[in-house]
Amino acid sequence: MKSKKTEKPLAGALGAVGSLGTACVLLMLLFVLVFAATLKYKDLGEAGVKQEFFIPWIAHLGALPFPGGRTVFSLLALNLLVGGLIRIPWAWRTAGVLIAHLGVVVLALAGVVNFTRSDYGMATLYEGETINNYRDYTQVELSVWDASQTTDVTEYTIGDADLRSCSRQGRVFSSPELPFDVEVSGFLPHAQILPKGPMWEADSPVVDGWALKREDAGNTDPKYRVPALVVRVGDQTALLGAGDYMAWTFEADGKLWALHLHHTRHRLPFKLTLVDTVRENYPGTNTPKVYRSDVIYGPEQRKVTISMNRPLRTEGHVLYQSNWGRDRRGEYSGFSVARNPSDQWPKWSCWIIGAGLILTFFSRLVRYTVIQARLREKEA
Amino acid sequence: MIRRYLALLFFSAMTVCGAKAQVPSSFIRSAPWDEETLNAAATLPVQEGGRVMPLQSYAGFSLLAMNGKRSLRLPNGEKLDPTGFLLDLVFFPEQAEDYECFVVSDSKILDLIGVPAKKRRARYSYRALAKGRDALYAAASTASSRENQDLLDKQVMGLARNVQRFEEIRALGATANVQLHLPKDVSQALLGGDAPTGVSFLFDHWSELQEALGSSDDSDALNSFLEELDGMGREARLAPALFPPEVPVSEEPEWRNPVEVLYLGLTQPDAHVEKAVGWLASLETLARQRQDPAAFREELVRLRDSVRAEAERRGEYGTIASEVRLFNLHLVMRALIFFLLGFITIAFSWLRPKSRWLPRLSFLFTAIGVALTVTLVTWRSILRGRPPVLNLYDTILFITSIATLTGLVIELINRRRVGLSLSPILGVLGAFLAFRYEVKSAAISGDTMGQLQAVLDTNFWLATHVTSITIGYGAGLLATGIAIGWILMRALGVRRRDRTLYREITRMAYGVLCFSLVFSVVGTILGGVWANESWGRFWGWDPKENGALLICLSQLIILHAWRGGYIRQHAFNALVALQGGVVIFSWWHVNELNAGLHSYGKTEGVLFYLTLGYAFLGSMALLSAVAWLRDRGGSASSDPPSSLLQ
Repeated sequence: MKSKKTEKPLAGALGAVGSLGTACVLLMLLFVLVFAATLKYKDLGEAGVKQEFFIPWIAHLGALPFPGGRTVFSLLALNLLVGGLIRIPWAWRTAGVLIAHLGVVVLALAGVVNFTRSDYGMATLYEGETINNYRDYTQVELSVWDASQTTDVTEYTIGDADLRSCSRQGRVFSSPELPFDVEVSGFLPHAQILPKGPMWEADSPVVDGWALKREDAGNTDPKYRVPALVVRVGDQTALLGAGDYMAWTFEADGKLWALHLHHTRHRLPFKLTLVDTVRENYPGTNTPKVYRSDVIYGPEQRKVTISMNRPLRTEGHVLYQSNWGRDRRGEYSGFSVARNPSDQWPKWSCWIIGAGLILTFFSRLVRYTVIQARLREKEA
Repeated sequence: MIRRYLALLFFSAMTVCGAKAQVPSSFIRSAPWDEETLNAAATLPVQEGGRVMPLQSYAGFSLLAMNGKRSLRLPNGEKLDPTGFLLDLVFFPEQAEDYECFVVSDSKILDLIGVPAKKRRARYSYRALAKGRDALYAAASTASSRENQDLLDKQVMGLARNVQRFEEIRALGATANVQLHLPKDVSQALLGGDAPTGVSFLFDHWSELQEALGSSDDSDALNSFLEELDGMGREARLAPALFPPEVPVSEEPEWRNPVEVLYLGLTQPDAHVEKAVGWLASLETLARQRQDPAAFREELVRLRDSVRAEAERRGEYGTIASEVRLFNLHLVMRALIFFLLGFITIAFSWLRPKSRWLPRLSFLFTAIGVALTVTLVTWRSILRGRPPVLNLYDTILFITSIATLTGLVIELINRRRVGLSLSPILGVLGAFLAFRYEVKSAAISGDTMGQLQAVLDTNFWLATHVTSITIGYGAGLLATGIAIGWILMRALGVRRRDRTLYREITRMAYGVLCFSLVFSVVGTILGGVWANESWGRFWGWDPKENGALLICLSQLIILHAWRGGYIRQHAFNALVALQGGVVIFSWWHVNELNAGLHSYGKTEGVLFYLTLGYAFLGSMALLSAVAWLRDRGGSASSDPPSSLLQ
C-alpha cells in the first residue's frame, strides 16, 4: 500500500497528460485554431495566419487570449507520446492504433526537422544560362568586395543572424583582410527606402534626404519582405535594402569597394543549365497545359525535364518548376529550390498511419461482420 | 488594289469580334428534325474549351447555361433537344431568334439595358434582348472590372455570356447562310445573271472575281458587296472550331472555324485546307437544302463522315460517339428515379415492418440507382482517361456513389434496414444536387468535363489524394445520415424500448465514421505530399487544406471522446451529425471564401443552402439534447459505451 501511495502522483500526472480526455481537449483547441485561421486566411495570407495563430505560444481570437499553435502542438506531442505510445496497452488489439500513432510521430518529426534544418529559395534562369546557387526566400546577407577586381572576386559576407542582431543596437564587423570596419545598425525585417517627407516618421537616420520606413512584416509573406539596414564605413553612411538592384560603392585605402544587401545565396552541389523552357496551352485557349524546362546538371551533364509535379531530386536538393515567363532577354524558368532532410518523411508517415488505421478498421469490421452473421443465424 | 482591300477585310474579320450579327435567312423549319439527322449532327466533333467534344455536348452545355435545362419547349409544343436547338440556330436563325431560351432571373437586368420586362423572373428570346444587346455587353464589361461584384453584376455577366453563346452557335451558319450580291456587271460576267451567291463562289472564281471587281464601275454595289462580306466575316469569327486541320496534331493542335478556313483558303495557297474548303461548301449545301429533310440528312451524314475521318486520322475522335451515348442515357435522371422508387418502397416497409418483399424491392431499386451512378462515374473517367474526380461536379457524383454503396454494404452485413433507408435518401439528394450544380457549372465554365490546370495534370495524385479525400467526404456524410436517423427515431420514440436497435445504429455510425477517418487522414496527408511535390511545401494553412484537417480533427475528437467514455449515444450521434457540417464546410464552403491556392471560385447561391444545411444539422444536435433530457430517467441509451466497441 505504501509503495502504491508513492507511485500515485507520478502515475496520476502521466495519466492526466496522456489521457483521452486531454487528447480531446487539445484536439478541440486545435480545431478552433484551424477554423479561425481558415476564416482569416483571405485577409492575412499564409504568413499572417502562421504568425497570428500557429507560431505564438498564446494566440488571440479577437480580444480573447487562446492557446497558440506552439502550445497546442507541444502538448499534443506530449499527450501522444505518453498516452498514445507509452501508456496504451501494447497488444495485438491495439496494434493498429499504435502504428497510426507512430506514423503521427514521424509526421511531427518531419515538421520539426523541416522547421529547424531546411532552407528554401528560388533560382531564375534564362535559356542557355548556368547557375550553381540559389537565393534564399527569407534570409539575407551583406556582401563586401573589391569593386576594382574583374576576375576571381573575393567576397566577404555578414550572415543573416548577425544582421538581424543589429535591429536594436549597431554592431561593428571587421576582417584582417579589409582595410575598414563595417558598422551595421537599424536592421528592419521589412521596410522601404523613401525620400524623407514631413508626413511620416523615419525609422532610421536621414541620409542624403532618404530614410527607412518600416512596413508591416507580420502580415507579409516572408518571401515578399524587404529587409533594410543602415551601414556605415568610415565617415560614409548608406541605407541598403534587400531589393536594391545596384551595390553601394565607396572608396577606401585607394580602392573602390562595393557593399550589397541581398538574399542569401546557397551553393548548389552541381551546376544547372537551362536548355529549353516551354509553356504549352490547351488548343484554342489561354489555359496553360504544361510548363516544362529541359535542363542539364552535374559533371556528367545529365539531361532531365522538370515540370509541375515532376521536380528534380538530386544530392539533397529538390528543384520545382514554379514560374515561367518571357521578356526582352528571352524565355525564363523560375525554380523553387528546397533543401529539406525530411522531404520524404511525410510520405512515409502517410503509409504508416494508413496501415495502422486500415488494420484497426478492418479488424473491427471483420469482428462486427462475424457477430452480425451469428446474430442472424440465431434469429433464423 | 481590290485584292489588298479584300485581304484587309478578311483580316479585320479575323481580328474584330463582338460585332452585330447579320443573318439574312427568313426560312422557318417546316418539319421536325428526324432521328438520323440529329444523330449525325450530334456526333460531329468540335474543339471547344481545349478539348474535342461532340457537337451535342457543346450544344447541350450551351442550352443548359441559357435555359437551365438541356431541352427547349417551343410554343407549338415541339420539344427540342440540344442538337435540334443547334440545328435551328445554325440553319433557321430567324426562327430560333424567337425561341424564349434565356432565363433572366432578375428583371433589374432588363431595366439596366432598356428591355421591357415581363415579370421578375422570366424567359426571353434573343430578339427581345437584341435591342439591349450593346447595353448588356457594356454593363457586363463594367461589372467584370469591379473588384467587389454583387449578385446583379454576376447576373449581368452571366446573361451577356449566354447571349454570346447564342451568337457563337449561330455564327456556325454565317458562311453557309450568307447571300452575297455582286455588282451587276461583275455578276453578269461571272455568273451570267444577277442572282446572289455564296462563299463557295469565292473559291471557284477568286482570281476572276478580283479582276472583275477591280474593273467594276458600280462603286455603290461594290461597297455593298464588300460590306456583306465584312459583316459575314465579323459574325462568323465567333463560331467554334468545327474543322480539324489536315495535318498531324503535333504540327497544328488548334482546329479552325469556317471563316478561318475561308480566310486561309483564299489568302494562303499552302495552308492545306482542301478538305476544309469542301466542308465549307457542304455547310452551304446544307443551308440550301434545309427544307428538304432527306437531302439535308444525306449531306449532313456526308459532312460528318468526312470530318470524322480527318479527326480519326489525327487521333481525336475516339471518345465522341461514347460521349454522345453517355449523355443520351440521362443516367443521373434514371438514377434519381430508381433512388426515389427505392425510397418509396422502403418507406412503405416502415409501415409494414413484417413485409419481406418490400425491403428486397427497395434494395433492388436502390442497387440499380447505385449501379447507374457508379456507371456514370466510371464512364466519365474512361472518357477523359483520368481518375474519377476532377472537379466539383465529379465530387457530387462520386460522393453519392460512395455513400449509397456503403449504405447498401451495411445493409448486407446487418439487415437492419438502416443502410437501406439511408441509401436512397442520399441518392435522391446527390442526384438532385448533381442536376442543380450541372446548370451552375455549365453557366460558369461551359462544360463539366473541361481541361485541367497544369498543376493538376497528374493522374497519380488525382487517383490517390483526391479519390481518398472524396471517399472520406462520402463516408463522413453517410455517418451523419445514420446519426440523424438515430436522433429522429429517438426523438419520435420509434421502437423506444428496442435498446439493441439503437445500439446497432450507433455502432453503424461509429463504423462508418472510422471508415471515413481512414480515408480523410490518408487523403489529407497525401494532399500535403502532393503539395510538396508540386509547390515544394507540405502545408500552407490554405483553406482547403485546413478544411480537410478539420474533418480529421472533428472525427478524432468524436472517436477519442467515445473511446474514453466521455460521451454516450445521444452526444455521440449529435456530434456525428455536427461532423457532417464540417464535411460540408470543407467540401463547399471553403470555395466560397475565395482564398488560397485551392480556390475553385464561388458558386452563386450556395451560401444560402449551406446555411440551411448548418441550421438543419445544428437543430438535429439540439434535438438529440432534448431527447437526452427526456430519456435521462432510464432508457435504451444508457448503456456504457464500451459495449459498442466489442
